Amino acid sequence: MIQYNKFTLDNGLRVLVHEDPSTPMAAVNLAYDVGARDESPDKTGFAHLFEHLMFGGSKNVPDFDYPIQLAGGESNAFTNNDYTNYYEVLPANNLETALWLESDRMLALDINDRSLEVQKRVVCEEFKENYINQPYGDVWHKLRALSYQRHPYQWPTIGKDLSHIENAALDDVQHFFDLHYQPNRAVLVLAGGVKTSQVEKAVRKWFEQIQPNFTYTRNLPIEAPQTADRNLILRSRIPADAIYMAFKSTERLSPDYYTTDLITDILAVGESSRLQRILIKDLQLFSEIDAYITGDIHLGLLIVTGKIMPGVSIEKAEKAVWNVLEDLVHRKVDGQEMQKVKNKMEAHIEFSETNIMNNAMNLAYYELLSDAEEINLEVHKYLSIEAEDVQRVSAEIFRKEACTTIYYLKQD
Amino acid sequence: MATLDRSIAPALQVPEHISLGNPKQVKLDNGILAHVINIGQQEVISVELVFQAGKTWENKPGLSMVTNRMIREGSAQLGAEELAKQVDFYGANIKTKAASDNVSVTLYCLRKFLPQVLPLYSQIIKSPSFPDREWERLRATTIQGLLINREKVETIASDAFYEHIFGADHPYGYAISPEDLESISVEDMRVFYRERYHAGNAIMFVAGKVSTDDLSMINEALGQNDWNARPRDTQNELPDFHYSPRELRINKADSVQSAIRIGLPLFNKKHKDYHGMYMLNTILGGYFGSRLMSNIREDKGYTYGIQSMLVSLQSSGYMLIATEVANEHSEDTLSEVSLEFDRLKNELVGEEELALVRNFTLGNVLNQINGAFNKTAILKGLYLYGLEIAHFDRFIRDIKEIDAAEIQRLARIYLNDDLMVKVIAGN
Repeated sequence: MIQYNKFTLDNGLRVLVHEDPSTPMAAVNLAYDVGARDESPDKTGFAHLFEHLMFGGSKNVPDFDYPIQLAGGESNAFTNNDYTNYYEVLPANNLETALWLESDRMLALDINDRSLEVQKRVVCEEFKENYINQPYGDVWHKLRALSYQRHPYQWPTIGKDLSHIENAALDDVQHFFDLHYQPNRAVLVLAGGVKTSQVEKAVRKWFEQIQPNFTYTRNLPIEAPQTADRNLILRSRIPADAIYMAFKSTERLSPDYYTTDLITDILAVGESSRLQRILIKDLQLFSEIDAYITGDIHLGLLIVTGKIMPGVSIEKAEKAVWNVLEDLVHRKVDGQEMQKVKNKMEAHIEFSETNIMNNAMNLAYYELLSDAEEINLEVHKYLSIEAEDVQRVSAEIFRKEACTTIYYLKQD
Repeated sequence: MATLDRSIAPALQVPEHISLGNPKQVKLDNGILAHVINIGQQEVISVELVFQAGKTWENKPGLSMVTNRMIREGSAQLGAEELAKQVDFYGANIKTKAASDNVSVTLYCLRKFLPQVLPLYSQIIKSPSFPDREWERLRATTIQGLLINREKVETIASDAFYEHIFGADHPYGYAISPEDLESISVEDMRVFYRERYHAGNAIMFVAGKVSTDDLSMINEALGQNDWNARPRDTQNELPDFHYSPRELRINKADSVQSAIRIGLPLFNKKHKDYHGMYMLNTILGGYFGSRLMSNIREDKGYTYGIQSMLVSLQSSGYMLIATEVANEHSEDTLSEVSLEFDRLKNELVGEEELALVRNFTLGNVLNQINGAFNKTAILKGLYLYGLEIAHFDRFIRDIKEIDAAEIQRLARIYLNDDLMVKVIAGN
């Protein structure tokens, strides 16, 4: 249970405060409703590149990190397909420093060539480090591109291609900022050793005068239902064959979202989960295996991926995965196993709530998605899922014709 | 409304009271010292046992790691599958971690299930069975994991780095190979377990929302004389260190980036120069605003990130600078790092930068001791080195007092190019 107070400024900025008097620290989280889904197909990776530029100084503050560190804090950010999230952790006494900095870069970013040129290089190195120079690193680009034919989820946040980042121009940066970084498209959360009455004054002081100037209407292409299986074989110098399967899952706000989450827990969370127990331990076909949902706001993916043991054919391994998935469709999960994944989920949520930064991030995400109040209904939603739901949703998801499969094979 | 002057920063306060408080300690009936960190509103608890059974205690490379990993795979009472099933049923997690000096086995669970889960954890600790079948499987999957890691330039560079810092036959220096794992049997593990996993060799940390009842339950489960009660082990003789400063280039033809590791062997946190080195390291590469990040990422754009770290070990320690850079800039990066060494040796750090690093460090430490699980990690870092809370207080005082002259003195002793092991793995 995460308690919070909420108020909204006249400019549309939503503010949530989660008071935790036991800590001398404060977490600040500012989520903007813009992600890689808002990019045009010939300028991908831009939302994330832009996130880097947000640290290059704003109109009245030449450097973002210096004042935060001087205040004893740290700052970072992430971008995903759906949204962009900025956060700070600092001693609660110095909370206003973070408000000053976040408000100034919401008001007016200092957009300059030098910062753009350097961050383009930094992001290209990030791209190489995570997506090229790793065994299997390029698979996510291929898997997305194959899974989505129309929707912008077809490219990863880092961008389709290095050239998109290299070609980013200063005008694009200004335009992106003007269009997306608006108070009415943001959620600010303050958590930790803070008092609502005090921080409300400070928030109003720094944010109230920022006016929203542009209107953005999100109009994304809709992904047509997948009606035939899609397959791809990749080869490279890797030590083990691997398989990647992507199924169309649900939208984040679908009532079945929570069931898809439990389905992947049944499959892959814990040593006793089905994929681990059957495919790693009993049949010894895989050295590692995982299943998870991407949890995207629009139609997301349910991914099953594993590394195959030497001497095992990939077809045999794939067949064995299908057997496990089809079993969920054909046979109801028993009460004991249902209770297990619910207990796991409850523990997961309870542990997560021990951390003020997690709480701030989650509140902001839920408010951006629909309503922060939803976060406190989550446990109940998981606990009320029935075995019939698992079976029904499994039958909808685990269909051959809705599956995208990549074989990643060793090159001899 | 009055216009706001946004160019003026809000007033700052440097954290004044940074204290670990007085963590409770309880002696279990069999003598195990349990540190109790009772903080937080969430209904969760963790129980961790740390044993002196890390790499420095093994007589075969890899034995410590795999024994600790195999400890969860079945007990005298339950097979691996049944054990995992029961632990999972209660939503609990048992995590194992093996390091150079120590290993740990930690239980995380909802408090309401502690009575059900504690006996399972206790079985794992007191009567693991090390079944052959589980080892055959775990060996094969671990070997595959090693082979995948060996394809990464980061792994190639790190392995070479430790080998040249500590020597290929020292536990701090050698990397574990598939051949090492091939030669380990479950009998080796049983012997290693019997020798090292006993109550006298353990320290316990209990964190989260902890009641007196919980502690009695823990005492009942793990505080009795039914598991190997004998005095704490004393470290056997270790091979000599073989430290050979040099520049090494390892070619990996298909690589689009190079991994760089630069550093030297030092000392651990008990050394008189440690707190000064902590400051020096932070200035050099220990935070986002550090000189290496500012120069090599934010000015040159050679890398996504570059860090420098100071690592303590029971009988040594080291400093390590790590980064992955564009192949064409690997030599530039080496020279920029040397340049940063020179600047620290030749110029006093300015008051402004020193204040920045001081404030950052104090705020960062305040954050690191925030919450039960964070605080436990900090306390572990003290107690495992035989240090007390007073040492932490001294650290805070030193951070406030260390001046530019001291930092320069340390830079002149330790940041010398000819003392460094430098590894570039890439193309």
